[in-house]
Amino acid sequence: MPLTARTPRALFRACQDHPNQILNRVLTRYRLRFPVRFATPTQTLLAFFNGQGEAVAVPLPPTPWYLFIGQQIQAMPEGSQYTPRILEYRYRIQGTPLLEDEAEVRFEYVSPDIDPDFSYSRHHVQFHRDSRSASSDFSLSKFHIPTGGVTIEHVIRFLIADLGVPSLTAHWQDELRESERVTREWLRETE
Amino acid sequence: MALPQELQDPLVPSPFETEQDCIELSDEELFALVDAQARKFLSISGEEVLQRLRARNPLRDETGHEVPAWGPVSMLARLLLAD
Repeated sequence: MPLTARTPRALFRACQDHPNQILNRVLTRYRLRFPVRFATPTQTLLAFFNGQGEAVAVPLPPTPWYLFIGQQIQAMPEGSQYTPRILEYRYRIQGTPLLEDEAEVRFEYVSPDIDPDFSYSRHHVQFHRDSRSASSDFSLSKFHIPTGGVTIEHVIRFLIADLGVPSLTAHWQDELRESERVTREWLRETE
Repeated sequence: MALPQELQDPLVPSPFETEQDCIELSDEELFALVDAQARKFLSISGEEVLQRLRARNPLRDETGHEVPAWGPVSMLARLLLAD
C-alpha cells in the first residue's frame, strides 16, 4: 500500500522516519532531517544537516568514507490525503566531509518535474573524474551511466558489502530486506 | 530578495541548532541560508543560484563538470521555488 498521510508534514515525517530507522539500525547514528517553508510546506529536502543548516556528508568510521543523502520530496494531494513524489535524489559517497570535494561515486535522479527536457538518463551514476576510464573518450565523471531507481537501502548495502563499512548490527541483511520491501510499497515508481 | 539585517549577524542562533527533525523556516530565513551557503561553497550569490535553477543551468567548472557543492546548495535553494 502506498504511503499516504493527512498533511504534508505528517507525510515528510514518515518519509524521514523510515530511512532513519534503517540508517540508525544498520549504518550510522546520524539522523536525516527536513526543513520546510512556512509559506509552502508541500516540499522538503531530506538530508543530514549541521547546526548551520548545511546539508553535509557524515563520517562512516572506521572507513575513510563519508555519506551524503539528499532527497527532494513533494507532497502530492490525492483526495483528502498526500502521497510522496521524489523530485530529485543525490546520494554521494566521498573521501572527505567537504561538499566542495568531488565524490567517488554519485547516484542521482532528476525527475521530469525538475527538468522535463533532461537529455540524460534520469537515474544515473557518475564517478570521480580521476577514476580509471576505459579510454580518454569514455568519461565516468561526465557520462550519466543509466541505473535503476536507487534507494537509500541500496546505498547502505553498497557501503557495507562493497566498501567495508561496518554494520551496527549482525542482522543488517534482514533489516535491509524488510526496509527495502516497505520502501518499494510506499514510493511510487519514478520515471 | 534582501537579506534581513538580523540574519546577517552570525551570533543569531540557527534554526538548525536544535534536536528537532522538522525545521520550519520563513522565506527570509531560508534565503539567508541559501545565500550564505552559495557564497561559502560556490562563490556566487543566493540570487544567482535561484536564477540558475530557473534556467536549469547548474554551475560548472572550466572542464564542464558540475561543481560538487552545486547539488547540496541547489537542493536547499529549490525549496524557495516551490509553488
